[in-house]
Amino acid sequence: MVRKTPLLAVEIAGLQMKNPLILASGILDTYAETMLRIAEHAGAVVTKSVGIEERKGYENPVIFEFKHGVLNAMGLPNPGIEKFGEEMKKLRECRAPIIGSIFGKDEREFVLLARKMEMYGAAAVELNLSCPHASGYGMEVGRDPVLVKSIVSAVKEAVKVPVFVKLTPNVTDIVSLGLAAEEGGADAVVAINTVRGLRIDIEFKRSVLSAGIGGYSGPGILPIGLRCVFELKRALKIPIIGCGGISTWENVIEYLMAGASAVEVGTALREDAGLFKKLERGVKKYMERKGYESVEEVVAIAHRNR
Amino acid sequence: MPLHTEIVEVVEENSSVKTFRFKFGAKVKPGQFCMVWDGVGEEVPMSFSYIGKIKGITVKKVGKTTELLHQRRTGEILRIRGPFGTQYPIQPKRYLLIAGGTGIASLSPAAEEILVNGGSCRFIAGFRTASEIFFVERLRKAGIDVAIATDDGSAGFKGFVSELVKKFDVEHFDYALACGPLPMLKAICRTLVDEVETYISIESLMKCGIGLCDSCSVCGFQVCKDGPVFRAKDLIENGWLVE
Ligand SMILES: Cc1cc2nc3c(=O)[nH]c(=O)nc-3n(C[C@H](O)[C@H](O)[C@H](O)COP(=O)(O)O)c2cc1C
Ligand code: FES
Repeated sequence: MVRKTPLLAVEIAGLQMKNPLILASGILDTYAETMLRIAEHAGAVVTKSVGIEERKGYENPVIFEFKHGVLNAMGLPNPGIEKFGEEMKKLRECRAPIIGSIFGKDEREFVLLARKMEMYGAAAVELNLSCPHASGYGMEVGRDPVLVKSIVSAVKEAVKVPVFVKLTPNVTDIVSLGLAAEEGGADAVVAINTVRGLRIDIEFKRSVLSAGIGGYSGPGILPIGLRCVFELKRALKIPIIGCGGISTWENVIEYLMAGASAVEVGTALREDAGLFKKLERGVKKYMERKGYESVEEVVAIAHRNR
Repeated sequence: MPLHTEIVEVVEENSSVKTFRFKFGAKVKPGQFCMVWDGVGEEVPMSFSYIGKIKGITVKKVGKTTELLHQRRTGEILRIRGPFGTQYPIQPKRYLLIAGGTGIASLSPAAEEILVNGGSCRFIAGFRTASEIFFVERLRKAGIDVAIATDDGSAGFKGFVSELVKKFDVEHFDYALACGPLPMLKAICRTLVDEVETYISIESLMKCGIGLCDSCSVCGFQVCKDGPVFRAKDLIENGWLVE
């Protein structure tokens, strides 16, 4: 057996992870084979957000890369919850916990999807209440605290596995959303999903994405994600999973210090398939150098040192 | 970063295939592809069919987007993202190249590079019918021996390239490179993979083109990043040929 590094082991809402590094939803996580490969070095893996029906997503172009990150409007392409069962079956052999991400337009859909994911063996569900570009879904549901609370509590009643709520930064007050999730009974919140953004193709005189407005991810949104986690930490009791713009181990430490108990990593994987291994090594070395004995000791340190 | 470039030449290869030539500064290796967008239709993945100073893509009309691309004229603008993906191995060795249909577009620059690098190659090209043949003159002018197969027998061997391949003495080659429709690639691999080091280029649906979205994956590999050129054995070991 591979020896785990206890120094980095974390537990969130009962999920045991060998390190606090999680694959973010929508990145290399549609097919079981890809997730299994990434799970070798990640603490956990979130699946692509899955809905009731199969969706093709938007027409290409759905992605635009530039210096500071990536703009995307995929349009939630996914095989639908029934078919996704086949991938989940293949993931049973996976040692890292699999977190099933789901998106729906109302309580009823979220409950149905969460039950399915639980049945498939997901270790937790992550409610996508934050996708910025699919009409009728994501942040269109998730920017209203009243809706967030009612969806979360409906899902909590329906399943036994922990419920994570992925929040949108595209609101004036992300803390009110975090509080709503907590009041609904969420076991953790994930912050943040992509930031609404736009680029224009000046030759073709139109958006670079077929869908128009998209979601901005990658290094450029790091300060926004960190700020959201920092604000949420001041207000919430439940754990926070940080996400947004991480590309180095230093960024991971920043998130921990801002108040995240674990982090999700997405866009940076495009450049470096071996990223999780590098992040793990970097975080571990830093902790050893600073004399920490657990990740928990680092969490929210920046709140005390001001 | 994407690059906008003017079309400098449009060549009609046959009634349903056109080549678009354009300036593109980056170095492109044989087998690599780009994401092409004309600002009107969808953005689509295309193999580079020319990799010299003036690059090229060769487009077969198969649907709405490629029909729109076919309307593009010299002087109009294309947006190119890339080059992306892996390349064919190019060494001073003996090669057998096997193309089905538009697969010849991706393999032609490979053939030319092999010659430049002191290798030798024989080419097998399959088409549905004689009137669809393209790029063969280009290869023959470069001094490459091209054997033709057509489904209807209107030129060369009557039948699939995967049948014609069986008539070749595979031990005379160090490498086989193949590009074409999936059933053809599978048939070729079944015949060749134990006899000669085989590389194949796979066509796949692509959305991001940069190894992020997982939409192009086959048996745990991303075609856009780990491919499109794969060592056949690597795929087969991961269950690619299992039905
Ligand atoms: C191509 C792409 C697809 C995404 N798909 C989803 C999705 O299906 N569900 C979701 O909750 N987040 C999705 N996201 C958002 C990411 O999970 C993540 O929250 C965001 O990209 C910020 O993290 P990063 O900067 O590390 O990428 C997607 C992001 C990208 C770039
Ligand atoms: S097209 Fe997105 S991973 Fe290959």
